[in-house]
Amino acid sequence: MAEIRTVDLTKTFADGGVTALDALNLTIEDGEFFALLGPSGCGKTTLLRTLAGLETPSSGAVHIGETDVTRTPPGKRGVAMVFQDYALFPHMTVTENIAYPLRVRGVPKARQREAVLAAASELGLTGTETTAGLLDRRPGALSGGQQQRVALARATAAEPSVFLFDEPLSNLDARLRLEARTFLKRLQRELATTTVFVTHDQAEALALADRIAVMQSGRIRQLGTPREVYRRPANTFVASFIGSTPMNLLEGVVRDGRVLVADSEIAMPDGTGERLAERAEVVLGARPEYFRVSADPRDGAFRGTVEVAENLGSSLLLTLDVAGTAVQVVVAEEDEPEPQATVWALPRKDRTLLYADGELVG
Amino acid sequence: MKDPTVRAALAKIGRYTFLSVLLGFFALPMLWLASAPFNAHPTLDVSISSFTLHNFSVLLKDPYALPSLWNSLLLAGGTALLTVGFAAAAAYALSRVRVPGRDGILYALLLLSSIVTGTAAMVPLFQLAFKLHLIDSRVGVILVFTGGLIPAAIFILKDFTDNTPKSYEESARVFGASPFQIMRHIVLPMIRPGLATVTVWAVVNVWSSFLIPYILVRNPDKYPASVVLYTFYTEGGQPNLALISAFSLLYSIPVIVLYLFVSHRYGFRFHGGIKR
Repeated sequence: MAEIRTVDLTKTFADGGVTALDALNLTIEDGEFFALLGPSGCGKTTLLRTLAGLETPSSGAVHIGETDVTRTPPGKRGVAMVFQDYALFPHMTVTENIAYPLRVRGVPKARQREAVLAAASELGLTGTETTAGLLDRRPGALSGGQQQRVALARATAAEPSVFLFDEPLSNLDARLRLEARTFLKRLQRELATTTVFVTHDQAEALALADRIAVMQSGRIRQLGTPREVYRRPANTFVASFIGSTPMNLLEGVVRDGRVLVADSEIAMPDGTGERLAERAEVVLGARPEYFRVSADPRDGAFRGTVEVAENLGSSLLLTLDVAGTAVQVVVAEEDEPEPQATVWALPRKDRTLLYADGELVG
Repeated sequence: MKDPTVRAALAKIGRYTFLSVLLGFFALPMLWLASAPFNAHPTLDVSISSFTLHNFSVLLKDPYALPSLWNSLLLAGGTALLTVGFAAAAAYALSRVRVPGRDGILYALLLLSSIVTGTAAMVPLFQLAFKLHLIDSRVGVILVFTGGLIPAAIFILKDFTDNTPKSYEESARVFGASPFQIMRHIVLPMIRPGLATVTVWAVVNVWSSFLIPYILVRNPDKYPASVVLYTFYTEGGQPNLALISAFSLLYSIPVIVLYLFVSHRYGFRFHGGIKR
């Protein structure tokens, strides 16, 4: 059990002079399930690999627990890493794979076997009365989900103080991914081991993590609980990145205590009026899910025509043409309007956000 | 007007006739090798007119015949060991460390290596061996062979090391494995088919090579089988077919055994240089 702390952690790659990590200061609490989220090339994988010791930072320090591990080799940090491709050794059986961390440490064979059985039964690999166990198989004879469990079992057998997962779910197909997500969250709760995982999938980060660090160009753009990051993205980057249906980010101007956006006058969120000057240029952020759509005119609503209706199952995603600007809103399945119908979309005032210069005002 | 079935039948007959001729072309020498040693008066025909084991008993009494097989074994084994060892290390390094112009170096080496063991290099090789006091030394022969085989061996093995994902090694490293453990537990087992391929290839190369040991080895006690085979000619240059055939049969057995063993263990998968 350990917390992780980085101090001014910087990593520059010699070839091309790319700054993958830019003076990061980050504290991950003991027992926390922590997500590093961002688009590819944002430095999240470099950060994970630096925590593991597979990359050496250009400057700054990494602490795990009470110790400064910046110069400690990977094997002495008490971390276990699950790679994106799981990195199961194809020439070893499942048992040998799970026992490998112990074999390297010279743990006696009998103790290895106990640990393998414990880890394997924890991850449902030993089989039941109806299904045979997987322990004698080779990784090549396992499905993707089973391979992932073996990789997790191997990591738990190492009894680390920190787990590092690199895109743990990206190699699974969509259905299996949901299953594995629930499984992973339960496992982390039971083990209560500090866990850091990297993902580019915002839904995965929201679903799994206790806290999320959203990264861009080697910096953390927002750090918070999934709820905070989803409800109040700190800047337009996070706002556009988080959410299955992207947030509407509409450019507008402040006028008479309202925001003039796409020929519509929208009410400002509470407490923002005094902080913004008249005629200030702002970006209005409103998630498609937080609109009330009606066929009757409403004050402070966007008036638009329905351009496209995409079926999402229990709801519909409408793309409205509002004076030449596209605004997306979600309506319940029974409220599907006629194509080209004129509707009024009223953003929920308590969920509307204003950004000035890309940063959240309120 | 031709019936299409007749045409198909004719094509089939033609194809099989061609294949039979081709098969005969390669099979006849094999049959000769199987029959001539047991013939009291062998000619270049495939026949056993008078069965005998006398040819073998003559070979057993020959002071150089059987020891030469042992010499060949030493040369082939030593070369294979050195070649595989050095080439594996070099291939691993080349596929893991970024060397500028890496592929260029590799192709240049490959090109030059055919010169090292080629006929044109024999005089400088002899002089080099002479200066290094490696004339009439098995070590000298092994080193020359190794030098000639290593580049192609690196080329073959690099394909195998390239195809071993880096995450395997990193995973082992995070679990605390030392570089030596990573090599022994992960890398070597992963490239084992490649090592087997290179071993067989190196052994066969040395086993069949005549010129290098013939030039570098002076003492008949150290002659490998390929050179001893050459001594079964009379002074007039007439081949002693009885001894040559019998010795050839003995000479081919170790290579066949090696093939069978490796083929049984690994299945023959010659990938070298080709991306799967």
